[in-house]
Amino acid sequence: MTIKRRKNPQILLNVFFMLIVCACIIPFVLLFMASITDENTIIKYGYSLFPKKVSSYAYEYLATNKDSIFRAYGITVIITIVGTFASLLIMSMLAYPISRKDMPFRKSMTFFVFFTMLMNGGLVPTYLVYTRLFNLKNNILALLIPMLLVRAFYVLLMRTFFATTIPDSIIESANIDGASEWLIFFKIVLPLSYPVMATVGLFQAVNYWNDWFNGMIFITDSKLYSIQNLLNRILLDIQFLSTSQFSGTYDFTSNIPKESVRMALAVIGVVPILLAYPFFQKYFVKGLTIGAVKG
Amino acid sequence: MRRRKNLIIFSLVLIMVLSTLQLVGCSSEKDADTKPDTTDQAKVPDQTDDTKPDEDTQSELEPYELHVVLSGNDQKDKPLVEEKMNELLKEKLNASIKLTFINASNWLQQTNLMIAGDEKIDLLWTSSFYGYSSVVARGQVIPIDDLLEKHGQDIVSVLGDDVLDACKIENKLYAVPSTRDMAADFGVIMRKDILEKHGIDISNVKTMEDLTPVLQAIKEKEPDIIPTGGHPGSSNTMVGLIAKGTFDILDDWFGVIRIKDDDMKVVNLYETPEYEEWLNIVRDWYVKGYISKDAATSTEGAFDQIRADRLCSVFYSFKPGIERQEEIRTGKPMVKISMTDPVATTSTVTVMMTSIAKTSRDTERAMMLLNLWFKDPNLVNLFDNGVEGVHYEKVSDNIIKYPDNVDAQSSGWISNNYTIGNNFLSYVWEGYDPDLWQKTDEFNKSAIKSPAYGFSFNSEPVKTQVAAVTNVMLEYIS
Repeated sequence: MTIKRRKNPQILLNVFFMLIVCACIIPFVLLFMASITDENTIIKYGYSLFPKKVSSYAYEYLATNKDSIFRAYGITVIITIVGTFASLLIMSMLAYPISRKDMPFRKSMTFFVFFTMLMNGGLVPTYLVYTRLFNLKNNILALLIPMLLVRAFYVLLMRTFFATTIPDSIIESANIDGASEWLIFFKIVLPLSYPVMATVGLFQAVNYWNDWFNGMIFITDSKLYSIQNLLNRILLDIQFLSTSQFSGTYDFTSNIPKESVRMALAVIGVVPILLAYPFFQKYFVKGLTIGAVKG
Repeated sequence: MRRRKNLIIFSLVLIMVLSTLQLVGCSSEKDADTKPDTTDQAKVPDQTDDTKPDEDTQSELEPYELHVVLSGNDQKDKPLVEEKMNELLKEKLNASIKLTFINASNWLQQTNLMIAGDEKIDLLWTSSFYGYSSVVARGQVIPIDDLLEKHGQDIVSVLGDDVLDACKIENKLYAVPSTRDMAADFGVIMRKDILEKHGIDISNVKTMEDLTPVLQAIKEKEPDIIPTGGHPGSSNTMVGLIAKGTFDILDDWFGVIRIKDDDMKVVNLYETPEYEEWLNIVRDWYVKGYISKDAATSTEGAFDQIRADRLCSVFYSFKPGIERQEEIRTGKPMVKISMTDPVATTSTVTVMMTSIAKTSRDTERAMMLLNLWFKDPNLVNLFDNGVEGVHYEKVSDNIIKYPDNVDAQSSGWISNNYTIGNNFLSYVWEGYDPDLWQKTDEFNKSAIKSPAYGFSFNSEPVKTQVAAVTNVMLEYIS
């Protein structure tokens, strides 16, 4: 009797989570199926998990347009890799000193970091600073630096991790053994901080991979489009043009890829980041703690 | 004491951060046009040393890079086209050109940022669609009457005072339209093959009512195909398009005037008997199943639906050559049924214009370039059709086609040729009427001019009312 009572909620719970898993997975399957559906079939019958007519047209189209699409893909890969490592390095080098209790002015420096979470310059001043002062318009650095490279929240996340999980005594003993600050940071603190590095690294990788905003603001040269920027432009244009009052005779839509091609673009845009998740997962819980006491 | 120390550290950190960023900026490649003018002029000498300008009359002109910002999508072969344009412009204006295309959804934000950032823009595409009067009100473009007088005589002779007057705001000209179809008639465009297959006669169809038997015949003979429809999600609804042929919508549909009425009485479109009648007809069609059941919610483009054999016809606005244009898009032979006379309103003229931005460093040269765009067939063809032998091949004197291994999908230069300049100078693509441009010209001249031709609605003084009415419109119309 007692066993039965325990089992029932278990089954309910299992079913509940299975439904949630389905709700997460089915859209991706549908996305993939739409990308291999024949274009005319999509228009006639809509999306379907079991397409009436399968076609590889969309992927062939991507392959024939490799100049623009693979290029965009390459840009995305480069900014994701370079951006993630650069931002991890810079952010940890900022977070570590302000986590050290013997650092002078650490309170005011922390506030300086924290302050940027509350206030920012706004779009137009940001644009002016990056384009006029630093000449980053139509430059690949514009995809790396603005709004992404150092994020105050992650810096504080790292600071908390360093302050709570790296015991002062380790640093002190290394110091007694004659290690320099650089050596302590790179050989002792960083190796002990994989959880937070993996967590923030994953967040940053996703941020870089998914970013289209910098591309939209700073890039007008199609050579520097990232894949998300490309996709975003296509989708916004479709939305915009279909609701616009443009006289129909001005055909602004002629360059816009067809439905299945858009789906295929979305597939190749989402798959790599989907694959990256499992590798970081085990560090997740450990790294994601900003203030609470941990076991 | 402690406070002061804090302040010093604070400012030191600030300086450090700024200077590192500055270093990053310096090491990156310099982009001439994002810099303020002083450095621009400093850079000028390195661009000159190759060749001297040929024409003596132009030799006193300093070398200059003209930055042209247009609506459209960035093209793969832009560097090639720019290079060819440069050869031409070097000789004529001792200038080079840089083209920037900004896509439609991003246009307003990007151009606002560029002008706020004082980026050099010489020629700027301007459209009533993004609010011509507000661009002028924000001071983003400059009045060009004097420049037109001085350097733009070819523009005046091509367009005529009538058209230019329609583009004036408070008696000042800020932009010139491109030559193209500056009027439109409205009606329905249909699949010719279906009509011919079943011997359906359309020669007597002149109004929406006449169309009913045609739709009925299509419905009976082709049960799988939806007889007609509009443009999903667009404010160009079926009735809306027909209304545009009868009423001048004065930019925003809020108040309209009858084009054939000279007394210019502004009425509410949605209270007119005509509108009611059209609505009743469309409702009748919907009940009888001549329109898709999900017409109100579907997002699939009408021409995609025609290509996919789902739809037979769509309400549309017409210009000469429209049948061929949609034939290319849908892969089906098309025929148009016009239900209104061609009409010209302010917005049919001001929807595609070019102006000189206030951030131009050399407004005279910008006007010279614009003038050239109305005079020089080589420049027009380079922009409209690309480079001969790469993007097109000549069939005869003014007819062109794609080279053997190139098509519309793979061509590196597909331009929105109607955005700028005198398109009547460009070649005609094979398959279109060889006299396309003469016919377009006649079409423009034959169009009935709205009594409000030349009037642009300035919504600034009634902003709140406009916002309120817009909300109502969004709720019930689109």
